[in-house]
Amino acid sequence: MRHGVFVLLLATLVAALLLGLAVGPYPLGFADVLHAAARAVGVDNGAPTPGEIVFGRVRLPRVAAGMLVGAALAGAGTTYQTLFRNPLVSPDILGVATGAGLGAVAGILLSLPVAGIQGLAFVGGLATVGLVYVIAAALRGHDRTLVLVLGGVVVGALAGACISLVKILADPYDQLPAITFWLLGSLAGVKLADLATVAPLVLAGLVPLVLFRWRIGVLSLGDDEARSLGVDVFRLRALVIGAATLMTASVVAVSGVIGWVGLMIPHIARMLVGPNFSRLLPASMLLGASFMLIVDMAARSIARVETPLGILTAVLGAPFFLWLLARGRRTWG
Amino acid sequence: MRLEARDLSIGYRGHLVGSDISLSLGPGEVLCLLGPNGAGKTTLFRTLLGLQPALGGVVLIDGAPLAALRPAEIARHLAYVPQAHVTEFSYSVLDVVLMGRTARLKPFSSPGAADERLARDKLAGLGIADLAAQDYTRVSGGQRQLALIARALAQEAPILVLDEPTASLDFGNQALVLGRIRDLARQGFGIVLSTHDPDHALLVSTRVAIIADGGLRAIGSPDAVVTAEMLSAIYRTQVLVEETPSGRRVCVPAWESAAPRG
Repeated sequence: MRHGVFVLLLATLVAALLLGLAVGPYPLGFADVLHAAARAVGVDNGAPTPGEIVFGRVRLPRVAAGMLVGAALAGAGTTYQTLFRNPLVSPDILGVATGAGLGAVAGILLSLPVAGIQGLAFVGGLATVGLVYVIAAALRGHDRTLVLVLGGVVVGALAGACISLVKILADPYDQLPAITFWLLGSLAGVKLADLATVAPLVLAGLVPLVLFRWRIGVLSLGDDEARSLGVDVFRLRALVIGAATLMTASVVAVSGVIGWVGLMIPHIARMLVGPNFSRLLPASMLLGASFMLIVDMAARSIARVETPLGILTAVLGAPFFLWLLARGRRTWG
Repeated sequence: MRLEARDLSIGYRGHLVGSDISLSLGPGEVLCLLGPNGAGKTTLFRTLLGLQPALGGVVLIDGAPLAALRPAEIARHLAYVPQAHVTEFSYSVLDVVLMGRTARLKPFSSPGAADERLARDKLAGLGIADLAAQDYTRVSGGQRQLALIARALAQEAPILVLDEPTASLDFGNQALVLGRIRDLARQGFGIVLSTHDPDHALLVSTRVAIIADGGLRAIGSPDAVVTAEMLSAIYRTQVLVEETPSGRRVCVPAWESAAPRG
């Protein structure tokens, strides 16, 4: 029974994965997948079928990116919610997505190649959170969590203003649509090479979260209690914020800004497996991966043109948030 | 195992709350802190627990300065029982007690079966074994307070520091919690607690410290310290300390009884 939910989540992910591979503007059958697999192991040396090319160059990277982005955003969101003892915070609580957005739009304005844009997005995200952390450390003697969150709001707002400035400066026919599309998030242009860079970074962020999973849960009791229970709060919190930020900034650099996932998914996971971080983190990441596969499938299927992911997640997320507020509980899941 | 404060000055940067505080506590002793609101009981607690630095003087655990110890080392000596609160997330009572094992685990470890057995034992010892699986946020205030005491016991620290353990509990739960505190002292725990009720100090403590007017106003046996004069002075209202026919001492405000007699 303890593992039943995880079996279910894993089965959901496999189903979403198979569906995600098959569904799209160019529907693929299992024959295409088998052909590609056969070629990969060197059995099939004939001319590649069109389905095979779509599978290898478009669908596979996109599905892999969907899983990675969904899992990373949900994992970071779970971590921040536990850390800040607030179920209504998201991976962007300290301004990482806004900072990454600023980096990316600056890259687009400077007409950098895709890798340059991604690099700037990554640096922008990390720099924003670093700045917030420095501000919070300078304002000693206040509630540290509150200072961090408010610092995130202030720095995020400033970065948002800078994004608006870049939009005004950008070429309205070429750069502005690219900026707008990036700020709404998409997996359409992701290549396998991007994933090869991003996946290790996400993994590097995940390692400390997994290793310190028990102590991160203890942090959810608040600074004084966690410390009196023997946790080195100051160091662990810095490490955990760094890890979750690394995960978020890495995926945002390739997918653009996709809101709501990191807020909604941890909630649903908490309803399924309870608030224990050791169980919540894997459940949330599995669910996030499935969710992103399904949303991205919708993004490429519901209209003739690509629908930005940020729009779809907002359409789902806003009512979900209102529902949470309407439940009006003092405690969560 | 001895907790000691020598010439302690407490407060926040640039704001001295109290000074010249010296006290000590050994096994089986119950030290009760009494004092008016804002006198610095909480600040003293936080300083004794190493949650904030002392402005002067030193806190010693078995002669070793607290400031030189890492949080996990402090946690193996001192267990803190905060006022019964509601957590943000719906942990089970057992989960909350298991968190007390943190200082006994290796950095990357989670509690195992042995820790869980120990946690259940501590719950059973306080008479709330049946609450283990229940939602901590939904049990009563008294049960939450007992769960937090169970968590402190799971920490296996010889000294317990309890911040107003009877605050916001009904009369029955106050008696229940005080009874458990007395039992724990008899088992050999050293206990520091703060309270707003001088009767509670008379019920459970072996020593009473009065924190008022920027420092330690008095410390000594309950009979010597909890007197009508002392209470009237620190609470700025006339108080009587009377003896009941059974020989117990109780504190009451010094106005006429409200209920007309016979």
